[in-house]
Amino acid sequence: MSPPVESSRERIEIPGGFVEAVDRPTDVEALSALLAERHARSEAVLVVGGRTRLAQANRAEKLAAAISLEALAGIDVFEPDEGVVHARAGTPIRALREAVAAEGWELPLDPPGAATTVGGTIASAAVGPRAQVFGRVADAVLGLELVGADGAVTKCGGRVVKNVTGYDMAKLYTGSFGTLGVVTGAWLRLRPKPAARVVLGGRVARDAATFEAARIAARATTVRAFVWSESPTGSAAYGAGTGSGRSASDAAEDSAELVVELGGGEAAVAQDREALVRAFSLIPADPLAVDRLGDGRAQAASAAAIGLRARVVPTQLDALRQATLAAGLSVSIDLGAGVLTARGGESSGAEGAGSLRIGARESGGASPGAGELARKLLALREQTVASGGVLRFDWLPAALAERIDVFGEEPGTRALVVSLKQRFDPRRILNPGRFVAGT
Amino acid sequence: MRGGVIARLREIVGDAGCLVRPGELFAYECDGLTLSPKRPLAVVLPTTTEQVAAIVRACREAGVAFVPRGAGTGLSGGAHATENSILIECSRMNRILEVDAENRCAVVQPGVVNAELSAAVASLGLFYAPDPSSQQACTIGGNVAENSGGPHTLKYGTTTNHVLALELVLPDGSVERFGSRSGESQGFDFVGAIVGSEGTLGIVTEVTVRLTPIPKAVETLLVLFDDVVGACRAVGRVIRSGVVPAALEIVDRRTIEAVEASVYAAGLPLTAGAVLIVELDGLPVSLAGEIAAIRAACEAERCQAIEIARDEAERKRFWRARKGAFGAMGRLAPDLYVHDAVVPRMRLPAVLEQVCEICDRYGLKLANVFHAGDGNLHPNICFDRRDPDELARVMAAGKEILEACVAAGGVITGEHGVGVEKRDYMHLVFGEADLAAMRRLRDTFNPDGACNPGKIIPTTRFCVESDPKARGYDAVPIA
Repeated sequence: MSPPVESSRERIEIPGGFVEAVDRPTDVEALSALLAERHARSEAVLVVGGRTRLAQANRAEKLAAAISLEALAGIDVFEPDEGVVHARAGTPIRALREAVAAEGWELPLDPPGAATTVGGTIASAAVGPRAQVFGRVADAVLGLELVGADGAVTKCGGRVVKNVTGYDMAKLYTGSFGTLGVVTGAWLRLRPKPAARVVLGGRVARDAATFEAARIAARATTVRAFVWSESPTGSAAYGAGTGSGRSASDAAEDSAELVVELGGGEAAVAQDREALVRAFSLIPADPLAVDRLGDGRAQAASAAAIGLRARVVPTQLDALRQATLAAGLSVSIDLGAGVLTARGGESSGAEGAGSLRIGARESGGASPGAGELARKLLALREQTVASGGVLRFDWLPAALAERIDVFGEEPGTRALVVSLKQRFDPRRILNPGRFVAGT
Repeated sequence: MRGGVIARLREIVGDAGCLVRPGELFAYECDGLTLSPKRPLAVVLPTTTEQVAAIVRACREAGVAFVPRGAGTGLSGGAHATENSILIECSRMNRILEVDAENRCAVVQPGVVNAELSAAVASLGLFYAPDPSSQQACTIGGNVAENSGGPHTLKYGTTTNHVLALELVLPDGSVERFGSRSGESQGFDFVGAIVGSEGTLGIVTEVTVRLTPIPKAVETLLVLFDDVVGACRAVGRVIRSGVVPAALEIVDRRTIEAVEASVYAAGLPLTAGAVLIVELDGLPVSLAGEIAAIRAACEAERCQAIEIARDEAERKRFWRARKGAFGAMGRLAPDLYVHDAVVPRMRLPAVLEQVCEICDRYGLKLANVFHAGDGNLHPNICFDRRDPDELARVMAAGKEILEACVAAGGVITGEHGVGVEKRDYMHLVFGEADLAAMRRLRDTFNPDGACNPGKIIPTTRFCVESDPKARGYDAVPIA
């Protein structure tokens, strides 16, 4: 029999700190005992799953160790006749996706990252390029089991597809980055796998008229993902090498790359495909192009990298796109969902993002310092929030992380946030400091 | 003290917006749950967010509880007053503030009637998807409080899937906004937590809702079966087929008989033991294949006949059998107890047999009309409340039905809410630690329970014994 908790020495670096020990409980009881013990000693822990989004956080307070959910993995119940599945938190999303696909179902979650887990996806509410049909992570969550900060084992929701039995606690936990409790398992709702699926790609002019036409086209019924990728100079950047039939070194200067996935009934897909091919000269692309694009958003390329994600109403997308490009970042935009991800600052000036590097050649004079760069990035958030959207940072270089709140906060809600955290985790042992408003 | 608060409320909303005479208050003694009515101290009818905030502050100063209410169509008593409380009725806050067609959303006040919102945006090719049976009367604010569903939630989801942002008057009288027009929040998803909180976290004064494009094509099928169990099995086959209908509704024989004898008569054959209504919507090019899949599923369960609506008039006729069902049941008995529970869809046949057995055993008349595609049962028990013995049997049978649903992996409410009706059944689904987590959420917004006391979360003996004042507003027994 394996021990209830496997412990190892291992260094995990996160914004503002690090841990050097990892505990892996192998069942819920062991996790409960472990948390109760930490709680009694007021020792804070970092909760990790597939470790995909550990950089997506504010600077942590002092941590004693990490608790990894990776040993709490596996599919407990899968009922193909019902279209629901129960998986433990450490189950890799990929494995779950494949298991349900074998029975004609689709897991409506496509978070970036090859190693990402069920628990990590729920904790971070991470969505991928198919958000326009998959919706939010919380939409797929029917019920959760958790262990609270004091070790109490709790559940919420259930396994049925419609449920108003008490508060919708799963909404509160989903996207709370493990600051209210540790998710150990989830009932998830599945959707039927589409009968037909087609992936198309191509390059188009990167002007406002083409962008608007693409945005409208992304509303077609069978569109599952419609990604517009573009760098500040118009060279292949974000979507490079996604299999649109041309390489990144192609002379495709001053263009944007499109990757589109369609899914649904054969006839409907054929109809939309024909219209898109005609409008944007798209050609067949790698069937995995959308997932590869998503995974490209998962992790920073270097310690100097800047990554952000925004969601706005459709009519504000173009303005945000232009402002983001003007700030020197490359963008990858899910047109149907109104989600913009951007990154820069990470490598050579070839991508046009060189101007974002902090403290670059003093002699150049044009390279902004961290303060100016932070102001630029925060101005993007202000623009987004003012136009009815949200913006958070996926990763920041250390010099910026000191100056920028990764999540931002809704005005006036700080007192509620502080009170909520105080009630769920009074000793601040769960991921302290890492989430919104100091939680 | 009471006189003082009423004078203050009159200053805020004017004499016409403050009802205090017994005759006026009579209509506000209960909502759609007519058992155990309670008369409020006064009913106030604000028209603005500022008035709601001022009313809440006045109640706080006077130390009286307050209860938000929409159209009063809720079926679990979520808008029941408690003794000496002020009922805040939001029906006069009924303006559509903005329609943003390009971004497919609208900003509305809570008193806007559900069906009127859809009517107002129809010319733009849009509609508001959640469609509870009471949609001609119920309001968006009430829908938010109850996370209301309806026949079309199978494909479109419930209210929570259609609320993007909210303005809330908190129980301390402050006004905050949550969420964004993009549908996401910065930080915790308070919008998701507020939807379905039955007015216990504050009073919603503005709602930004998602609007949905009207589908290009709709097909409605009426399928007749020998019995309810066969219809339920066909639903299982449809779910497995990969087709997601907009609605999958079942009406049983007793309901058919009541409907056919009423003004809602839809021309249903009385030879059918159950009717399954299937609605498909989407692209015209997709529907032929989906109809074939439905036909195959129903024929495999030996349906008697399949009719496809030829036009809008026929489509409406099919739906009359479903939407008129509750009205028609008035013919069966003076009172109707509308139950609401959910089971895993594949367990519907077995659970329905149990529900029938329970009602037979208690000698009660049962009619079923329900959202089969969601596994959402509505066993309707016909009774006469003037017969105390029959009322006792209705309550006992109701509890057994809920227990049977929970034992099958289900829950005690799918769309009507917990309110006062099911508060003391929460233990069937949740343990003390689960309820403690819910209490923490409530206490974050509503620490002393002054806002809609006594709903959703059962009062623990522990709380009352340890500190009777801590939950003073909840200490009043409800039953």
